[in-house]
Amino acid sequence: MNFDRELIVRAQAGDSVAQENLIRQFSPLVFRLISRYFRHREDVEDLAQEVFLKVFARIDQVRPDENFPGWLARVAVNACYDELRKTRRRKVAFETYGPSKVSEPVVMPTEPEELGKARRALESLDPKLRIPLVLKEVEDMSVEEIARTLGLTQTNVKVRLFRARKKLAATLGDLKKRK
Amino acid sequence: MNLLNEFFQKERSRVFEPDPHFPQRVMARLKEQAPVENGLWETILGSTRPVLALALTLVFALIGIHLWAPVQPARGMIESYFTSEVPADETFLYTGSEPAPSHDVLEQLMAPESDQ
Repeated sequence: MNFDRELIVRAQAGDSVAQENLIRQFSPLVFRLISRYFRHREDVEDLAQEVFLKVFARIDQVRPDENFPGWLARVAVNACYDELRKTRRRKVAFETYGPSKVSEPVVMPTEPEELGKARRALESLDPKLRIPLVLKEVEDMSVEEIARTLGLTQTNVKVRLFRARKKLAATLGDLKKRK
Repeated sequence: MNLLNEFFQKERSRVFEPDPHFPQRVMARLKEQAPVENGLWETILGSTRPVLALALTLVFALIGIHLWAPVQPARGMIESYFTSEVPADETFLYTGSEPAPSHDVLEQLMAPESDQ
C-alpha cells in the first residue's frame, strides 16, 4: 500500500491535517477488517472510531520505516478480538441468567437458510479460532501474514486453523443430522 | 464444505465503506479527548508540587534540628526543676546519690573514736 510516510511523522508531531489524512486513507482498510466480524454498520463505525483513537494514542510507538498498514491491521484485529470476547461473555451471561424463553437466532432477511446456518456456526466459534479462520478464508491472508497480525507463531496459527475447520465441520454436521 | 466455501465467497463481498464524514467524526472525538488528558495531567502535576515542597521543607527542618540541637540535654527536666528550690544537702533524697560529707562532719565522727 503506497502512502506518504511523512504523514506519520507529522501526525506524531500532532499535526491534525496529517491525522485526518491518515484516517481518510486507511479507514477503508479498517472498515473492511471490522466488517468481517460485525454485521451492523453502527458496530463497525463505533469500533473503527475506537481503533483510530487507539492508533493516535500510540502513534509515538510507530517508527517511520515500520509497516504502518500491518501495524494498523493488528490494532484493528485486536480491537475486534476484544469486542467479540466481550459480546461472547455477555451472550453466555444472558443465556445463563437471562429469561428462560430465548428468542430465535437472527436470520438475515435476504440470507438463504443454508448460508444462515454457516454464519451461525462461524459466529459460535471462539474468537481465538474464528479470527484466524476469517483472515485466511475471507481476507485471503497467508499463514505468515496472520501470524504477524495476531502476534502468534506460524505453527500456532496452523493449529488454530485446523481446530476451527474441525469444529465448524462438526457444528454443521450436527445441524444436518438434526434436520 | 461447499456450503462453507459459498459462505466465505459471499462474505468477501460484504464490506461496509466509511462515509465521507467519518474522518471528521474521529477528529472531533480526538479533540474532545485531548483537553481531558491535559487537564488530568495538569491536575496531577499541580497537586504533586506543593506536596513535594512540603516534604522537602520537613526533611531540611529535621536535618537542621539534628545538626544544631544537642543530642543529650545537659540537665534533665527533674534536675533543672529542683535545682533552685532544693538545698544541696537534700539533693541525695531526689537523685539517690549521697553528697560527700564535709570536713567538719568527718572531724565530729572521728573525735569520739580518738577519745575512746
